[in-house]
Amino acid sequence: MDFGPFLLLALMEGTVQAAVLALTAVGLSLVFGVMRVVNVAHGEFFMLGAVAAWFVTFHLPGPAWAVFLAALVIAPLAVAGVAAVADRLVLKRLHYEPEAVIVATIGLSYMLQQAALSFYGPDARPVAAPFTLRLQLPWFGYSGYKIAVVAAAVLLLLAVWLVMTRSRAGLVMRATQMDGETARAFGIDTGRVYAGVFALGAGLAAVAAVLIVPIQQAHYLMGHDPLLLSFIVVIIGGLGSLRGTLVAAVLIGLSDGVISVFFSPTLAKIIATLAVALVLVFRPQGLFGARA
Amino acid sequence: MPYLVCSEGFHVASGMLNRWTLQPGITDVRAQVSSMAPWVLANLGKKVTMVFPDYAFGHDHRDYFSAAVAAGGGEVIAQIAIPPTETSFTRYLPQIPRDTEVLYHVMVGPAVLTFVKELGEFYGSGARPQIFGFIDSLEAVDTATPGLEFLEGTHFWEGHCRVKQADASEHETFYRTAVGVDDGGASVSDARDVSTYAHMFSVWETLFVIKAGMEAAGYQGPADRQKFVEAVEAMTTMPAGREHPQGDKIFNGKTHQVFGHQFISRVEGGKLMRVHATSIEETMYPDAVDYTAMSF
Repeated sequence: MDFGPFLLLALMEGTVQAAVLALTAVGLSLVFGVMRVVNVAHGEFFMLGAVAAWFVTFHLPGPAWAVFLAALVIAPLAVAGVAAVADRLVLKRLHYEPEAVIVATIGLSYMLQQAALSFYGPDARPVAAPFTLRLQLPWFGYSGYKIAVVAAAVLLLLAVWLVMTRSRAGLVMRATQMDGETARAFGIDTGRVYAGVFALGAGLAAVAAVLIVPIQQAHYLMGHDPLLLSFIVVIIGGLGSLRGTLVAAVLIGLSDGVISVFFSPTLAKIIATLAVALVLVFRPQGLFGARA
Repeated sequence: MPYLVCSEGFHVASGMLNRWTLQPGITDVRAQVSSMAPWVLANLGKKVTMVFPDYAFGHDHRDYFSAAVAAGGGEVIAQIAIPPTETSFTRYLPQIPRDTEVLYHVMVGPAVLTFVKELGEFYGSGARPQIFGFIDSLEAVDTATPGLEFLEGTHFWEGHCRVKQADASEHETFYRTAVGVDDGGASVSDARDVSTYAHMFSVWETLFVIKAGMEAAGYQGPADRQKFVEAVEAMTTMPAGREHPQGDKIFNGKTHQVFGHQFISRVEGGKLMRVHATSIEETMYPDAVDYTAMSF
């Protein structure tokens, strides 16, 4: 293939990856920003979203677009529910101690993964895309659904930004993030905010997974890569900074797309991990993070 | 302890294992690919690009299909190895050279359906090479799944035809009923549960080889394990029957490997219809080992 179309394909693949990565990583970043919780189970919430989407689309009758829209609503809500329960039952009782929370979420990730293996099974199962549209470019064909994923991710990210900056819920979350004690003094139930944020973070991962599952299929081990890439993005962007997370997601997603097409996917991962190491050495707070 | 393999790997007949290991239920990859290469070159094209998983199973395909293509006057112009953990494949597809006449794919693992779908999106309605795949890329997947329409007219290797063919033997019908698979290759209790029909006969046939071997050895208990291996080594022909519903076979006691017919099917109306069957002789190659000369 000639260089031009080759580069175009690489950029398109990278954009899809960046969009999904941004959604997933914003969830992780939000949880860390507000709660100071490093959620190692984030990748499993992603997996749970995909598996839930399979259950919804498999059991609901109706045309593909309708059951997919249902999954897009039901799966994230279900995953958010699981996350809220986990927050109440586990994280709250550990008083959000950073080290304890890391160990607890590692445990939680194994529980979720093994639960998926027990109740869903080891198979990779497909979810039908809501529509099948193929873009035929002069040099290659491309999935119209992948373009829709990018559009949906942009809309969802815009919604998250509006909620965080314009709504009362966002104000309460930002207040809790800045100074939990003062927020409590103003009558904010920070316990509820924490449960809500943890649920929202997991829900965002689940939405990303529902969007990706017609492309990738639901599998109980699918949470590893999103977790690794989300951490890379969040560390490079600056823990807790939504703007930094977005910029880093675009950077990592596009470079991953281009490097994997022109060289190899393994090299792309090596470079991303190297970037994390460099950021940690020379700018530990990340590109957009505030100094602790 | 006797160890009976249903892996298709060439590692048994290549001599990498020991006398306790036998593969009496399924032909190995080397035999499969070398017996089909002449048909592919004669009917589909001579410039081949291969896409395969980057580990031993894929390497068997790479090594022996490339050799068979070269021997048949064709040329493998590109080999695209894909890491087994990969979940997205579009990024590899531009590596397929434009002058490819036949695209050969054999993918396994949880992401196989993604691979085939992305291949379809990539070529779209534009010009595409002939496509010859191993059914491994689509085992347990319904060929009528949305997004797989582009497979119409493409070819697949099958160890055993998933769709019941018009000339199916009574043994084939008996086996299909016994394992609960309908004429289209899905479970009789759930049409969405598609079987791994092209491979699963090997387990059934291996069990009957064990039965025959134990009977021939007069097997009484663990002390007779060696006698059991020797009894299997003494086997030569295996006639088609309820014990061997896939067809007749020839067992090579020296290399511990069985040889059988291979099938090439074309997707017609979303169904796999057989267009070619190899002879057993076409699958055979010179012995690489004599396990019977090894001590237990």
